[in-house]
Amino acid sequence: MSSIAAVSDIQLEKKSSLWLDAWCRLKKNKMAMVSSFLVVAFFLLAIAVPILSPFPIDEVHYDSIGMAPNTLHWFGTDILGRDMLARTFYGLRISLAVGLTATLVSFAIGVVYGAVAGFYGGKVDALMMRFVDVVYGLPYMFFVIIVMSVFGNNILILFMAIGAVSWLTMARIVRGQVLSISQKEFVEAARSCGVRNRTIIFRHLIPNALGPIIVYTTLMVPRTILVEAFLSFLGLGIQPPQASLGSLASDGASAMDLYPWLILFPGVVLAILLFALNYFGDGLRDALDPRMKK
Amino acid sequence: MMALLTVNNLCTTFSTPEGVVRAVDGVSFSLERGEALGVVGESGSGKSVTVMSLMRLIATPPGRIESGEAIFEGRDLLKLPEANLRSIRGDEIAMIFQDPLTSLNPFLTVKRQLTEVLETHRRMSPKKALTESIHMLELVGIPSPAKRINDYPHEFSGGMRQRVMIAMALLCRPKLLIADEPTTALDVTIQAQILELIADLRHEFGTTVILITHNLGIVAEVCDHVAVMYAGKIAEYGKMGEIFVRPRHPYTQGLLRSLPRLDEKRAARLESIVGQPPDLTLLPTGCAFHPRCEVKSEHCLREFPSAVRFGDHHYAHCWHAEDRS
Amino acid sequence: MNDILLEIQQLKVHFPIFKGTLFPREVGAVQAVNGIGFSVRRGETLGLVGESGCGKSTTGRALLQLIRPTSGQVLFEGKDLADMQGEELRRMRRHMQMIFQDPFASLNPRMTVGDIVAEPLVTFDIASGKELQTRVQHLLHEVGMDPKFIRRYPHEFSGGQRQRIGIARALALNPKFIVADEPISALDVSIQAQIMNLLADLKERHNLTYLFISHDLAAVRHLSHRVAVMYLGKIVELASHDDIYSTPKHPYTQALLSAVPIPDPAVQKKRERIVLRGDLPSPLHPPAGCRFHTRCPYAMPHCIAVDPPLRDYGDGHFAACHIFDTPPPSKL
Repeated sequence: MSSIAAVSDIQLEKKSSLWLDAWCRLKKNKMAMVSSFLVVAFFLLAIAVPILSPFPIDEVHYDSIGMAPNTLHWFGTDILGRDMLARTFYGLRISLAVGLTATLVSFAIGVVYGAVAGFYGGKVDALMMRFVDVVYGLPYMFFVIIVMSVFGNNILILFMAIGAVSWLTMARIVRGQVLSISQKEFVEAARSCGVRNRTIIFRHLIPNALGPIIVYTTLMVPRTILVEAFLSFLGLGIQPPQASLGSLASDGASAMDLYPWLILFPGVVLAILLFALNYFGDGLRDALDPRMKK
Repeated sequence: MMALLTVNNLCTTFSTPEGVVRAVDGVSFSLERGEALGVVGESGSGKSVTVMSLMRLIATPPGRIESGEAIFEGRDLLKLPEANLRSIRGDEIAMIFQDPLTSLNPFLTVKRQLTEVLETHRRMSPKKALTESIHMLELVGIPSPAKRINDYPHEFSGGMRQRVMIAMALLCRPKLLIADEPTTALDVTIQAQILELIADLRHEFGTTVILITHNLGIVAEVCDHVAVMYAGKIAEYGKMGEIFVRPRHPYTQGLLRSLPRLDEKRAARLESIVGQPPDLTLLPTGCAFHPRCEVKSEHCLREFPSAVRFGDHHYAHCWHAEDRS
Repeated sequence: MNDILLEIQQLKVHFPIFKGTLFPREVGAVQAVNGIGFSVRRGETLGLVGESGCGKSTTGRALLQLIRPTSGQVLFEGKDLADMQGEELRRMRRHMQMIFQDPFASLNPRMTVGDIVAEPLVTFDIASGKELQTRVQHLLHEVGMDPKFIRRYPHEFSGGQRQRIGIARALALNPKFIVADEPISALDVSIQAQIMNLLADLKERHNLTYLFISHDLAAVRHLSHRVAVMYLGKIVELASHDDIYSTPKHPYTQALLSAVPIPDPAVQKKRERIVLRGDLPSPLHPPAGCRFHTRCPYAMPHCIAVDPPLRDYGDGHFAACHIFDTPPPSKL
């Protein structure tokens, strides 16, 4: 009995959890911290742009058409005299919203779907993955276009449509990971301890599949932003005078030789955003792995 | 007679995120022609790194051979130009590994892999190389070798694959055969077959063998000399009979005592060595074995022991080897 | 001592093999375990030895219902586990635990040591909060680990320490029966003895019953009261640890014992070696009759035709071999 008493008196090392530890490790990764700062800054700017900007997004000024960047219009103006700074950050707003919503939708569906298929295996897995294969076979742009034309040109529908088609790859990745992880002895150990299936999936399988999941998620944000840009270009996405980074870039591309700043600024903002997301994703993946030291 | 291989003060380091690790730290030994040396040690003892360094098969970076020499028939393996070394590897010195699947190319038939060795090292005609390869497969005990030679590695069972590996290693009649845990992945009955094969081939060709293993029983079966390694250094070296009958280093003694044996009465408890194998990034000072040693003194914490000799071919690095014998 | 804790009868585990992508159909089955039966007495350690692919690990997992048996009974204190489903089976898991081979794969790398050992206690709502922590620390203390390590992750420990953590987890629920599947074979030589001693101590202290699965005959002999030898999904011999090592009956057991290298050159020289020819046949198409006849030095025509039953040769020494039948009943 004395040993129990002795044991409970021990001063424990600091309180920790997977996420708390991950945060400590993330803090030490400079690139990831700079990146997350940038992402957050972009977020705030995108939200606050109507308050901060003296120019509304759609205010046409015929006296200031195609002006190069100057002290009044930092990013210049477009061929209708609209302030590019305001338009770029409005665009960022739409792009971020599309990217994140679609990614969240596909993350939620894909991870659970893939994990369930991989964990149960056998017939359940075969059936679920055949369904994925069939949907995969459909040209997905076609699917988005049908959804958009049936339900109308609504931004929310756009988010959903993109998310609903991009979970397929996520499901495949997660299923593959889960299949190999569930062969590991610690999963068997959990089962032999009577741990319930749901707990096994959420405590043992998904956390160990996080690496590829996070990498794929961070890659998906830029991809959905580009998909949105493409849809906008087809006239199915964001409608003028609304703008997204994609539509701004594609507009700018057509007048690149005369007004290079029209593509430069949205392009640079998009590039910085994508870089930051990628670095942040890598940092998050490393931080969530307790085996990574430092 | 001159030794076939003399290794002097070999040091190999690896740079890791935790700092530079001395995986092999001042290893010296020499090998007579026809001798079989067993190198015994736990994971991290540096036994594999030692022979990989001799063959210069250490990935650089992170690995680096810091110092030392390895004189093989008058040539220093550690200083030879890469091209010369390549002609020695697989020809005069051959290696077999724990897992033959990783060292045989899964996309090529056994025939391709065997004949290629002879065609490059021995400049044999394809026809002669094929005859020779089939002969060698027969020698290592592969049934119907003329037919099986057209198979791919995965079509062989584990034991047969190891035989193919051995056949490939022996094709050029190497002077030195290095076997790195050749039977660890195999079952005992298959292990017995492979050990018998290695013993037979030694008699047949007079091949010199370095056998790396963690299993003292295997050493007792195959080798003449034993080097016991701990934390990158040789703890004890000697003739096999000596080491097993009169071990001098507390580590060797502990290892031998801790093994349950089939030929002895069952003991109630095993006498185990306390503690964990050393973490190479945080090696203890002085003698690295001291935290686990029963006879350590203050001296052991300060300084690595110099070799204490017991006759010609037996030495142990322990400050207390003398007074314990 | 004759109190039976676990009894298995006619246990079969077959893994079906499917071919075809769209509509897979069964084209055969790997007969991993093919109709075995034995019982484990309360408080004893039954050793199960055999080479890879003989079905010993599958047997251990089938006992715990981690792999569901194809047919046969697994009676744990008289109740058939093979018949149980869902919650009823989950409740039974409290009483039987497993220790795994690979100390690197058997601990979730993203959970702390404390959470790993606590998981069984949390699952069965046995303890929470302060009490949970105390119990976890006590478990760690019991397996020889410093209890202050509960906030650390598995990768910070060596193989032997991880194996201790795995053992603490298996002990958490105070089980009656533990299947130890090759618990020492992935460990360094100097650590194996430590873990064997730990297993022996815990058995004493908690009155445990072990099924000790290993290919290391010396280790099995050291820990077991009785030993069962498996070959290709069948038990070929079962006897007390003294009998099986001093008077092995089955030719396979004899070969297996003689193949173990002994770390003593003097003994090594005197031993007679039976080196078996050939490889283990595929469990997909096991040989007809006695499964060992393809490698047996004493194989008779009769062996190809009839599978010998496991028979008692006195004192609980069972063997399945025709050479003890006199005279050979048929000519082929």
